[in-house]
Amino acid sequence: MQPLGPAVPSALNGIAIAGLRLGEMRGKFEQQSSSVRIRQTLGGYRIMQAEAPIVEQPLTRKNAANLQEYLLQGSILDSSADVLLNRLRGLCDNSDSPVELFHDIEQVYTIKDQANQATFSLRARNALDNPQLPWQLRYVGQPEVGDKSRFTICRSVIEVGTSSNLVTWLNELGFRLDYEFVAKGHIFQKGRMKILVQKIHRVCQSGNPETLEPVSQSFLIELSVLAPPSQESLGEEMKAFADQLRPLVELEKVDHARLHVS
Amino acid sequence: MGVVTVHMVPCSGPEALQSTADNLCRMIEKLGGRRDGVFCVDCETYQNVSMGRFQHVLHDSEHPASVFSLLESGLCLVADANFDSLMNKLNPQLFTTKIGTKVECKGPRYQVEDFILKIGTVTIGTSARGLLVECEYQPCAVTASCWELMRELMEPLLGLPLNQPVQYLALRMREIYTPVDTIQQYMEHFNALRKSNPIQGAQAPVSGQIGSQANPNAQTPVSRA
Repeated sequence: MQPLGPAVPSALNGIAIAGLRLGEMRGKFEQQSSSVRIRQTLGGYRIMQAEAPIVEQPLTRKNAANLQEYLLQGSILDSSADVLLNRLRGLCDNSDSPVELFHDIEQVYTIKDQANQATFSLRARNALDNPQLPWQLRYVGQPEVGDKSRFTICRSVIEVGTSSNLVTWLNELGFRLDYEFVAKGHIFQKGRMKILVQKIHRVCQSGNPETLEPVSQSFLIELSVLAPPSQESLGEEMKAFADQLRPLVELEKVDHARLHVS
Repeated sequence: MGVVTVHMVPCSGPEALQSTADNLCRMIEKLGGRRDGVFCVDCETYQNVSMGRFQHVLHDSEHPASVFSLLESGLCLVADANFDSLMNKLNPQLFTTKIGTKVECKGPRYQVEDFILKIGTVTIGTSARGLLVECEYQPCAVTASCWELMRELMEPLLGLPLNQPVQYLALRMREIYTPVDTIQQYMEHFNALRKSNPIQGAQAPVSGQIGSQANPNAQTPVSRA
């Protein structure tokens, strides 16, 4: 096993969601305002014709709700993973259906703001086992870990389903590939919670997701919920579920800043 | 969806914009067109702060769950509605936009048998710049197979001979038509209108106004009062 390089903690930071399977395409078909003509005849006169103004609701959603991701992470050795999978199968929804698998590649692209020397990163994710699924573009904000009263990591996340030309689009906008990894594993759902049991692989040859090398001899476990901000009760719900997985796995809020290897 | 062509309607002056739109609506109603709601296509242009590259973000009421991000090279990313939240997050640190540069094309939508016709007034900021007609032939997915039919319908409406489709479509006559092709056509027209001088004195029509004069019997409670 190779020593953990600096990319690993960053990779851990970015794999919270293998959301392609859960169909997180939240684009709901809004009913567009249509021209409504109300015609009533009273005493032979047409007394009213009301028309809705042209597209009442603006097409651009400026006040779309920002969702927060509440996250707990842990790990389990390969040798004990089967026990955990069996327990999760019993605890989670749809226990009588086969466990859903995923095999995704995630590429992290960054761009530097030369004026402020700030770096922005966006993540492109695609299912390798089902490439015709939409690509996923993700923005992941800085995690809030300092609040000791909060049991989970809390960070701003925006997920966008996109067409397959996402990588070209990012490159043309000036984003450059920082690192990439492949996540392979199982996905469970319990109410609004999502549980991922996944193996993280390093891509040895950039652009060739066949040449993989496991990052460690463990599975990464993530318990996450996407919800509007200030849902304090959520932490309790997640804590209760995490307690049921003990002592197999200890799910904690991990301070990613401390993981970075200097 | 079928094949869509978008054409600019020639307008002689500021007053002509409103009256031309009304005339078109009347002609379509004479053809048996049934008014079927309204439509809107909008475009906001963002500039990358560090690289200076432009990104046009378009919405189309015909595809309300999608957002189209068009780059200068012609590359178009189709994303779901959350893309707007992402742009809000990246604005203004990474992308900036100028106030008053948003382009909107809106107006009535008509169904004429297998065709959908839309008459849209283009406004940039608050000034009206032009008139576009969109024609969709629903049963077909390849432009080459239905262009003659669409041309036959559009020529009398525009009062112009249409020897060939707009340049963008002319290069893709035998390809399967996709919603991105509609967005690209709108973008071509928006770019041309942005470069043109504003029609002096032309004001953006009040929402819902276009087409309301097409039916002389149509009266609102206000007009009766």
